[in-house]
Amino acid sequence: MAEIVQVEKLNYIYPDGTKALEGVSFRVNSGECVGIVGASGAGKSTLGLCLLGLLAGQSGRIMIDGLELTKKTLKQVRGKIGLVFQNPDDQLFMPTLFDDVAFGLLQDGIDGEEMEHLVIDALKERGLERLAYKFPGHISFGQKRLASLATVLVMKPEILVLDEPSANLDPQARKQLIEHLKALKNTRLILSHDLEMILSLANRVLLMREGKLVAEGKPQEILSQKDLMAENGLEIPLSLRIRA
Amino acid sequence: MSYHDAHILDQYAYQASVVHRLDPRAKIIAILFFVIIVVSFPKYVFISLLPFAIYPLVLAILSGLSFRLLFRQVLIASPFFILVGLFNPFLDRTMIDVPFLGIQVRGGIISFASIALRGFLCVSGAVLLVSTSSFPRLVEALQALHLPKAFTVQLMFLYRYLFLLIEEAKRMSQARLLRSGGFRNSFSSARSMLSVLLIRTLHRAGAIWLAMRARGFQDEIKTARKMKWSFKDFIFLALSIIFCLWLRLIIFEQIKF
Repeated sequence: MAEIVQVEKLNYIYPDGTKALEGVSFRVNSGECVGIVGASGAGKSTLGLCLLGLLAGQSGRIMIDGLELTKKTLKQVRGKIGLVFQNPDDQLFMPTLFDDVAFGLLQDGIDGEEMEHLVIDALKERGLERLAYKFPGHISFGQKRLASLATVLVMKPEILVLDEPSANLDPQARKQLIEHLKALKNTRLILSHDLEMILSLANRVLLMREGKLVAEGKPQEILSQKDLMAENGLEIPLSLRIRA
Repeated sequence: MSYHDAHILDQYAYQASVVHRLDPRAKIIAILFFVIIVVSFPKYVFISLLPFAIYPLVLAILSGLSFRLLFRQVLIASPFFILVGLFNPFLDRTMIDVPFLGIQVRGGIISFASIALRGFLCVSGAVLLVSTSSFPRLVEALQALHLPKAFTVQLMFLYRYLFLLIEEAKRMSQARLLRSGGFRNSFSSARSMLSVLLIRTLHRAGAIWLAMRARGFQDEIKTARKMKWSFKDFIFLALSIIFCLWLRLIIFEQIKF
């Protein structure tokens, strides 16, 4: 399987001196679903922002589908990779859901009937078509999460980066979101400390601590190591504890 | 403007009345013309301005905007235009004949009343404009009317960040209220809250900026709907202009006050 994401020795230091990423290197194959896990502050969100070039690493290299991420390739790279932000309120900034989903398409020069079809389809697939002309501030958090997913998926990105997608969701909405993510065929990078969700979705897990990758492997192997989990401020998922 | 008012006005903007359905360009030009005509009268004019109130009242009825809300919004802005003419009664002592009543009144009082009435009319027009067209549609219209891109993009961000600021302020105010036992805090704590509010809003604004960039935003607002002039828009614009000119050129010439 072709490698679609290559990250080599990526470093990022915030202006206040905080080292967020230190020599991070990993590869992701096309169609893979990779869980990037770690406690809060491990550098997961920073990594997500770097993958889209929203933060520029001080050193290191990012290749997306054979394209090196530079200022010149930024537009092309962002056409291949989409990021669903941790807080859906940050992602939904237009007056209606329709406008929000259409935003990326319009920036890409897709308008008219084609744009309308794509937007309505994206909303329909997430069961949100009846909310198309609602103000995003007036829908439930679970609906906001699905809507922010629609805003990115409508662009048909090959790679989808999801930052804490299950955060603040009630059990029903969380289950619905997991079903949606399971059905997707895109390459997915899920940045989360919801290990149960990672277990049910990911083929592979990368474990981060203080900006470094500290472990990599199959979800069951990594997430069932009691000491490793404890050292990294995490807990073995309940389903693995029950099985043990 | 309170959080509630801001949201109510925004929600009104998404109704589907005959006024809402008009092209926002027609509304902008009509209201701008209305404001220019209202402002163009000499300073000692009062009675000739009164019939202009028909215009916002008719628009309010047709758009379904409640008079109460309209009046409330105008009252919020009223200190600004009242302040402008507040000292006129003391500074302008010219005596002016009031027709119909046959009495003389100090010019400053008339000019103050005139400024207040003009302010009321102009603000009513502005409130009607923003409550019958969504703000993004108005920005699109301004873009279509060839206003500089830098100006329209700033307006769009102002709109989005204004709501963020209001939402953050509301959350902080609730948190403060819960921890202060319902007592109002001192000036110093309000001051520190303001600085935190600014930082939090900047943080949120930064996150939204990243989300926009991630979806290809290139400093230009592109929107889903296209602007289309229809016969109704021409009729509305023509009627608005004829009405304003009739009051300005015919009625004023007869009353002269």
